[in-house]
Amino acid sequence: MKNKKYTIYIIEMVAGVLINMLAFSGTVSDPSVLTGIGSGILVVGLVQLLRTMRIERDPELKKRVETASKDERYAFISMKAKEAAFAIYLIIAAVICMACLILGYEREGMTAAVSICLLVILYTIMFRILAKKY
Amino acid sequence: MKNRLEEIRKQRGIKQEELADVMGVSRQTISSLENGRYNPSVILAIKLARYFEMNVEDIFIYEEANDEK
Repeated sequence: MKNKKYTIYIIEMVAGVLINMLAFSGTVSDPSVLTGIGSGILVVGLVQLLRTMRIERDPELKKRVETASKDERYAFISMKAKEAAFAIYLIIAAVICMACLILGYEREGMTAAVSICLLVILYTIMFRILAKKY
Repeated sequence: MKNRLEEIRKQRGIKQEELADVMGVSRQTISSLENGRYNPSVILAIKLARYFEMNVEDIFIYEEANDEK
């Protein structure tokens, strides 16, 4: 399990380096996007690797992290936070959508509207799936 | 939902950390339960009751009028 985690993080880092190499190879007309993606993947892999190594070295920290991952109150708080974030996002996106459409930024307004529709559709699909499961 | 968890725990001379370890939850969860800020799952309530060799109703007091969840 531990080795599997390390392997995934190392693969992420290698993928990040390869994407960066591709960006700097001159084969791509605009390397900035690839550089951003590559650097992002590289940093995420590196941070996860360092974090796992730190946890593995400290038994007290490892125990706390394991307890936190199983703790039902943390799961409850996480669920509540997602619920609140979802509701707040919908309100913010709706305000942005209306403001953009009123100010004539039609494309941006439509993007916000589509994101609201997508979220509501996803919510409906997930609700139906979970209603069958539970 | 009110509970007598703190009272029962102190009667038995058990620390929050020890109870949390046995229940497989964090110390903050035990603290939140004792303060009435968090209501446990059925599983945790039963585990606590079994640990203290009591009935769930002897530890947790359900009051319909004050139930907010």
